[in-house]
Amino acid sequence: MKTFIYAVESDITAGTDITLPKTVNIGALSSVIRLKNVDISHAACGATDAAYSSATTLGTSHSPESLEIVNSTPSAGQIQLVNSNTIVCGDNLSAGEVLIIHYIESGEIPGF
Amino acid sequence: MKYVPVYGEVDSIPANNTSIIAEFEVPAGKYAEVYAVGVIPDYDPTTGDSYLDYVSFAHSSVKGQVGSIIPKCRISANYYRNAAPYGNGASKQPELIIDLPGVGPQNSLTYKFAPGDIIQLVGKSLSSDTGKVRARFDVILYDSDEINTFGVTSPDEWINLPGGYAQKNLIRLFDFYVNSSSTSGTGKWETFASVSVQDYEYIYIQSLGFKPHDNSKYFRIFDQSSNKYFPQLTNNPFIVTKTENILPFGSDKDYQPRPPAPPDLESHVFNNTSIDFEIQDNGNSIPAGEICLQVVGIYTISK
Repeated sequence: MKTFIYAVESDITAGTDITLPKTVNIGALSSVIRLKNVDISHAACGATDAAYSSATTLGTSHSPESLEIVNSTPSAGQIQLVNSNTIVCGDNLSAGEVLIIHYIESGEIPGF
Repeated sequence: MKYVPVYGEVDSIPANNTSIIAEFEVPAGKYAEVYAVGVIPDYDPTTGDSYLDYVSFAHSSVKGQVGSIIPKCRISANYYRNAAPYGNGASKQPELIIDLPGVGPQNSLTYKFAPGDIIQLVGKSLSSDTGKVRARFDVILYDSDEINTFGVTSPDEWINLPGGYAQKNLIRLFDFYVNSSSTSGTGKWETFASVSVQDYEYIYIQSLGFKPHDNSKYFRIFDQSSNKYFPQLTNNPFIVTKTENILPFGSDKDYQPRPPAPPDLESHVFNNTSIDFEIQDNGNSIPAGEICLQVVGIYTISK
């Protein structure tokens, strides 16, 4: 079992092939965790500072979400292995998100 | 003489059921012996589930219909205790060799099939449907004039040779034992499986593979009629902790093959007795179904 961490450098539309490096040779996906971008925001309040008188985004954090592994076109919350180094996600991925891909390498176990 | 590799696969074996994984019809006028087998059990990389229990050889007269299972042929084949590794590049062990083929007078225990017989490798599932199971076995075919080297001339004589399915005088013994209930967690000797051996049956144990659990500590064999424990010479039981297991199972994942039985055990004949397989836990209970013992030996009958 191996792990590959994929950082999304620019936005990826749902259903687009994501090509991983050639050295990633996936036989079967075991689990894929998506670290989703979530905004850290400050709600509007009565502070006198103008910046906080309305809702303000302070930065971005990550929230983990386990993706379901499927063998056909993925819907939201799902991911598909297309070939040994290509995956397709059913969600739009935003720049700065991370996929943690846990997989059996091709030839690591008989049958995979 | 001709070598024939046979491959087969099934997408699923229904729960608690038996299905043919691979089969081969012996051509007319040819005599077959099966000398090796390898299985790729089902495995779900997401859940880690594997529901194949074991494989057996069978002989049938109708293709696609499970025939008669060869006696004493139960080879553990679950992903976590596969005694018949596939022997490909991802395996750490070679295929399971049943016996050396073609040695004729030396009583090779390869499975022997007559012209027209259908050789089947059947898989048995556990309590859920299996995923895809793949298997192969290796056959050598002889022409009718070539079986003379075995001292026989007819199909009937061929299947009555040692290893032939028509006789029980001398057959390869494959059987495995899983603990059906949890251990007490007291660090005392407990019998997790027993085999009853009749007065007309003789069993020789040649090799043992043990799949350990975090809480397994020692293993030994007790012969009730002769009142002997094995291993006997050293008077020490087999160490079967997870880190120091001296009886590797010899599966696709083990870095060592199944070892031969110690000489005192290998030369012992179990007859008219009960063979007890005893386990000692480390003071913590071993849950049911977590340890497994694969036994390879010789079974004979004198009736």
